[in-house]
Amino acid sequence: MTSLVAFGIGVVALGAVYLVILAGVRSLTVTQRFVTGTAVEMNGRVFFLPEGLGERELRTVEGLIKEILLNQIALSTLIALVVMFVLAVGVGWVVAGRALRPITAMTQVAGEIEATDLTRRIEVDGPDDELKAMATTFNSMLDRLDGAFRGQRQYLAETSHDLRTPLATIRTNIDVALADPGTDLEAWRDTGAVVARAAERMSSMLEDLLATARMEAGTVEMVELDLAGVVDLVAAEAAGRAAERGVELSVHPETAVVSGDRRALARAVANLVENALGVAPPSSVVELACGTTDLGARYVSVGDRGPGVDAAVVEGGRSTAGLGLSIVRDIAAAHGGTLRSIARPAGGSLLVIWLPLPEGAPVGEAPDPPLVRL
Amino acid sequence: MRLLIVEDEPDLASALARGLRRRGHGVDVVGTVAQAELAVASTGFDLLVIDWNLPDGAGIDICRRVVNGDLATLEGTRPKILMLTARDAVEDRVEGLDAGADDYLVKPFAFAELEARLRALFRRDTDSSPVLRAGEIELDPARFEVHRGGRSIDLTAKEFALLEYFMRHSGQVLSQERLLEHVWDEMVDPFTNTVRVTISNLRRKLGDPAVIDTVPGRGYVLRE
Repeated sequence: MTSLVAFGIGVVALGAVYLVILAGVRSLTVTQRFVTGTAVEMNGRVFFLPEGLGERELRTVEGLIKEILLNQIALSTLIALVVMFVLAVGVGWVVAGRALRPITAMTQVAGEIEATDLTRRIEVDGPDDELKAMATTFNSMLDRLDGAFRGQRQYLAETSHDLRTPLATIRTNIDVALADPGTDLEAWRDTGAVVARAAERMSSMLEDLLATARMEAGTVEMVELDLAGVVDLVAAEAAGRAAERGVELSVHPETAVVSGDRRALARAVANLVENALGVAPPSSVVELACGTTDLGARYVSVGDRGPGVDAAVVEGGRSTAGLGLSIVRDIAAAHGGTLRSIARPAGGSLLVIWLPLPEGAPVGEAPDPPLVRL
Repeated sequence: MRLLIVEDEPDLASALARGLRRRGHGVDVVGTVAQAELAVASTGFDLLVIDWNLPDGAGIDICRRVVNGDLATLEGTRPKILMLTARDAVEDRVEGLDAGADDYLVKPFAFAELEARLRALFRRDTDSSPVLRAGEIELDPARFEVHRGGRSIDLTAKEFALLEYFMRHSGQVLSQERLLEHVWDEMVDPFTNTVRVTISNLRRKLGDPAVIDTVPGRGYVLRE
């Protein structure tokens, strides 16, 4: 569009110059072939030159004519240039203003968008040109940012909600114990136990938060490690809680070398074990296993005999599953793996982290872990 | 007062119940929406303390059902409702109060504030004075003090709660069952003579002239 306008201006200007020159030349033509002897025809008129006017005088006349002509051309060109300059500046001003208007609008919107409100979008209209493509790209970037921020805000809201409950438990227990002058040592012991439980829950939530933050910041350290070591570590830490709940924790670690972040993986396995211990009926068995399948897929599995969980909750949305499972899912995903839930025919559920899925295996049809009975 | 705590976090619920019982309230604890609705339908609670997020539903639904009468209470009276929840967003508070909750307290909270809010809620029915008066007896629920004619009287939590209930319903004849329902809780044996014993202790501590009369066959009444 802009180039077309510039081209047009050029054509008009050159045409004008051409016409002016043409007119000047016409009006000042010396038709030399009529110069015969002492007669000169000029502008259609014939002049008879006096005797003795030879070739030299004729050349002087011709030189004069050429000088006049050149002056005329120079003047016309100068005028044309001035007009062209004025026109070019004027039209350029208008055209550039029109062309830059969408960019000005984009600049304004971009300036108004704040991190807390990413709902604004640039209006996309006008011809299908580079500017429209730019606006569309910009808008889709805003969409992605908006989605990411929204997810993070929701996550924060859920986390702070989840942290409030144990905090309320601690506060109320201490308030009630303090307010009663009759609180004896035994009652204080009970209060202490309650506070310890709540604090443990809160620190577990904070671990989850930190694990999430580390993963989102991309600071996971991928090293080659054996899942068996991770499983042993988690089993040792969970032994106390299992004993407290009267649940047997049976551990079957087999070699499974993966590239992964030790802390993140330990967090994921610990969450699965915590959940399993939480739902396992007293004196039932929670099975923790890891290994490598014939196809080369590495897995960690945790089986319980609890009421079972909805596979959609485990593998799907964050809000229903709470903090614990969503972080397991995120950690598995960060390792190129996946979290699967299998309902055990004899009751309870089996949660499996696959790291990674075997090449070409369809998602959703992860193989059954061979080392654990369903 | 007879309170129902609907809270699925046992460590929190038991501490709340302990603290409120010590103030002489009758306190029942349930952990699910279903249990809560059963309890509300079978007992005339004065106040429900409801958590929002419960394992089998939203506490706010109990609130709605009580307020619009879907959930019939035993005596046909509507208990007061205090939402006690970790949901602190303005929209949540607005939704809670609009659903009919009389008050909304966000976790974590100070127990003293919860007690103060309960006193404020119970005060709304009667005159607005925080100190109850009947004749020459003065009862201050906030400071847990009773005076008769300027003389301080030492009462146990249960005696205090019983006197408070009489003073909030002075002039009315209160049956033993009603007193059991509102001043004691499900922990009490309904065939016990605890009401009679507590009333006689209260009469003795309040001294002469006697202010609590026995209405044979019907119950007890606090004379102005």
